[in-house]
Amino acid sequence: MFIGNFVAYSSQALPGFELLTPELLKRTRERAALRWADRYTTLIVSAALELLGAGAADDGLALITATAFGTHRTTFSTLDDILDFPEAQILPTRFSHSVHNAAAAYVGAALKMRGPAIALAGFEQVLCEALELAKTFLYGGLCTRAMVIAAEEKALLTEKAHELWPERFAADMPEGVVGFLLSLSTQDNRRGRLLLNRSARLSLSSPFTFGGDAKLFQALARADATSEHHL
Amino acid sequence: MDEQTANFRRDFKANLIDWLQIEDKTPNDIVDDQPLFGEGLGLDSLDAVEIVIMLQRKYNINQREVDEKREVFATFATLSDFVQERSARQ
Amino acid sequence: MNVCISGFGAVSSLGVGLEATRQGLYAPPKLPTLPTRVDTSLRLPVFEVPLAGESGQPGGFTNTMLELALTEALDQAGLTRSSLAGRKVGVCIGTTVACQLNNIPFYDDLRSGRAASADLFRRYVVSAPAEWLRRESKLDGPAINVSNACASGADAIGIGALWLEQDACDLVIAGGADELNKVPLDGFHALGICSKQACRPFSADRDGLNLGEGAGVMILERPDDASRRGHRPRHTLAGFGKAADAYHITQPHPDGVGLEIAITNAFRQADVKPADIAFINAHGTGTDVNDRVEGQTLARLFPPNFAYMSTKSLVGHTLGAAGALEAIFTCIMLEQGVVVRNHRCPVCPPDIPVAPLSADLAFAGDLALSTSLAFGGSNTALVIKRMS
Repeated sequence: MFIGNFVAYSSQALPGFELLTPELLKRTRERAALRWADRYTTLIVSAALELLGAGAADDGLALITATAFGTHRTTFSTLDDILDFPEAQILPTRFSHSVHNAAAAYVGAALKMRGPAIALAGFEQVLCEALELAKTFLYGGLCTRAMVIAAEEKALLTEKAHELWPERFAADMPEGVVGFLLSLSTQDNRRGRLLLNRSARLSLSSPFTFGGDAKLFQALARADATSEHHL
Repeated sequence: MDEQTANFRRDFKANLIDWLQIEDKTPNDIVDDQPLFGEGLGLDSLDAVEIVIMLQRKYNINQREVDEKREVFATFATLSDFVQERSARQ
Repeated sequence: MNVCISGFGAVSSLGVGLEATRQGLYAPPKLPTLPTRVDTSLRLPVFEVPLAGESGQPGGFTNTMLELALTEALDQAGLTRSSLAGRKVGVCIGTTVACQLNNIPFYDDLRSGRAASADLFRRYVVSAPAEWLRRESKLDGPAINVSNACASGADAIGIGALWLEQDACDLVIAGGADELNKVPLDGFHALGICSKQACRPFSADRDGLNLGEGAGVMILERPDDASRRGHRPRHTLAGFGKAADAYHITQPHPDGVGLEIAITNAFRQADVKPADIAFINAHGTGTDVNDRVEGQTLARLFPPNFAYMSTKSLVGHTLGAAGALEAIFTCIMLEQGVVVRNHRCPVCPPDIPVAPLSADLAFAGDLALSTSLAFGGSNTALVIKRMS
């Protein structure tokens, strides 16, 4: 697969990542009319807008989102409602945003994307699986280009994760989003080839490394059409 | 329009803007006889259900009362007057 | 596309297992009842699976149902769990509830600064269905949890088929599972789309959906591999189409744009035309909007008086399991040569141009379509063929 574009934002200064700023999120909310959208959605839509840039979506553009913790902040807001208010009075819009594919729906509406849209969730190798799925869709003729966007939001659950399972989750995990725009066509190649090898699967120690080691993202940040990236 | 209604409508506009997170509007931007949905204020189906919850939580108007009077959602004024009248009854 | 459906297993309000499922599909429908396992004050009828268990426990009821469906699917496929060792087996499971941590007592402890259960948290992290199945069954191959609302189960089956076509693995366990849970119950109620009565898909007096629960699992295989081991599957997956409405986070596109593209793509893969389809197992939730959009779109695409129905009047809306269970019900109806009527729809409204089936219908064809329209406008179409 060829990488047409790559973006990576993080709330911490990680190698290969740009800093995630309130200004970026505010700009996204204005551009994409995200009045009701939660922060998780805003992260994903931000990446989608940056990936596509000045380009246009067409019906051949697929979207795959990936996450481990997903919309946990919004899910917990819905639980706040259930705990603090009569059951018949919980906020419906919050609930609508607590499903993982809400973000994909916003991207579709904002960018007018009618290609296949799938939201994946998991704690093991969800970004790797999302990239493999993009390859599967491309080779299967379901799309001509694919956006893969992985996001993790920082909120109560991720802040407590280290305390609840110190061997698995690092303290102070950042929030962030990474996005790939992928194609089988050399004409779309801007950042090089992405070569996936299932048997050489990298192990994932924390979803906040986004399924790869830091070198991958540093390399992607510097990449051009001649680069090769192995995952 | 009497002063009580004018005051109620102004407060209700502010509450609506706050509840529906309409960041780019002030109460002055909401015209009383403007349709709420589609054209006019441009609210959609998600806003409709949120308004029902707002009426429950902030004004103690239950869902059944609202279901029986769907026509009050036509314009801002019809909705505000409905809420004002029900609030006065309590 | 030509991927064998070598076996399947089902758990729903109709019962546990295919025998109960087949009987329940064709019997007079059981009505939904007030939930017994979910602690709620809302008086909303639901379709519960007749199994004891606790709601809201990560790795609990959902995975229990999944395990039952998988055991049956493997048995139907003539496979044992141990025979999977050493083979490249992919797992693709759709779910909505299981990928959220929505246990209320846990969250109450967390937000109040009390010691929240580390054990529950860890169970949540390790219990995402596909990853859990892969680990429990010691499988080697891809594993994906699809969290795509109401289309998840159908998407999982389509993805599994693509894996096989591209040699990502040699066998696929694909399906969906979801348990009844307070959060979606309260949430769908807040959105105003739950009915207080038994749901009535496509009917003039429809007023919302009933939630259900269940698990549906299919074993998918390439035709050569099936025949090499002497197994004769009764169905194949002939087409998988997927497209988005690009319209709104909860409402479908009023013209069913994404659904039309999904169906067209599935038909192209299957090399079939609308007239070749014997019946459609529609999404048909019983909500005003879904049924109107879907009914109008199907009427636009299919010949006059085409046969369609929704099984949600029998098992409710099982969310992540729906697409998988409905694919399985479609297989059963293809086998039996009889499509179940669309229950509780005495009158079809004028804005749904063609009425759904009002009586069970015997048919001769071997092709059927199953549609899923997810919240947020993600549409999936599966074309299933009965082997002669």
